[in-house]
Amino acid sequence: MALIVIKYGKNNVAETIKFKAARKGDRVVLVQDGIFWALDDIETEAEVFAVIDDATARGYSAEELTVPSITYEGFVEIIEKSEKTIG
Amino acid sequence: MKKILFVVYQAPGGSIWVNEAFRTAFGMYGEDIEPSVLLVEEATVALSKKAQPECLGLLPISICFRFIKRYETEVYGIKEHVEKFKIKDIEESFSVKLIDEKDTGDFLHDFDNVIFM
Amino acid sequence: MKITIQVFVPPYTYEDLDTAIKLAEAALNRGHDVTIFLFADSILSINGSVKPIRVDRNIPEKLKTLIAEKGLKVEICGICMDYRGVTKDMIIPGSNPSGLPELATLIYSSDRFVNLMA
Repeated sequence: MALIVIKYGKNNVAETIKFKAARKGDRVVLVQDGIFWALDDIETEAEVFAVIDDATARGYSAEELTVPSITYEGFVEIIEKSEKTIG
Repeated sequence: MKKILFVVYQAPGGSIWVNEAFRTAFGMYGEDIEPSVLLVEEATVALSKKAQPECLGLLPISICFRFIKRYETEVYGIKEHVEKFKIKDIEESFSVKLIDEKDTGDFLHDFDNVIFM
Repeated sequence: MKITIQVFVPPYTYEDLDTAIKLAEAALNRGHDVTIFLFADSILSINGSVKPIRVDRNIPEKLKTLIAEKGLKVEICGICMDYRGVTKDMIIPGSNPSGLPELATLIYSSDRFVNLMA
């Protein structure tokens, strides 16, 4: 059960590697430009969340994202639950 | 013991991260930590015998070799990325282990923390 | 829980310090023991002399406040400071020049370690 932090959009090769690594039980958090992943459906078995402030900053509302949005507090709750991290 | 993986994806000519990943990995041995380094995508060219960031005045990659040997730091690359970047001769001093691209996800999950730099 | 957040890239150019600060503050508010470890160009964010325009946020000032009021710990890679000409007299109070041995200890002793990739 790993937390995977994604901070760049789809053109970043490292983020692609991290996303491909995501598996059932993992939690992926999209921050910064990572929220661009949430404009389309994401094929993954992991749970994916987007930090709402980063979506708002880029002109997207929670309803426009394909994944649930979270606050920074929600991000911390996910950190609490995840023993491993891939950042 | 904690298993920590440092991953670099940017080329050694253009950024500091290959050297910093190794420097950080070597700094881990004071604690009960087993550090490893994985070079992916453009950072894979660091494995090439012909890579010479020092021709730009940058730190040479070779300064890592003696510590890799001393600490027996595990260095990994991805087979497909070696092919993609047309690397013909791999520097032996890394004693690199190449993994299959399809196994990368499982590999990353073997570590407590994976720190992409 | 003991949580460490490592940052690599410079403040003001990128959002990472803002992310780290918001995350750190949320974690502190939930009662966690939080350290931000500044590495490479991110160490510029403890320079007490930075002068952003008035409408912009003052990152060193925010860190200083979190250190003083909420017990945030800020560790700075010392060799990264040397490389960038940042000396101890320039840094915000409460931040702490350290190095890789301290990072190793943080990684080992933290319950959670989160890094924001370069």
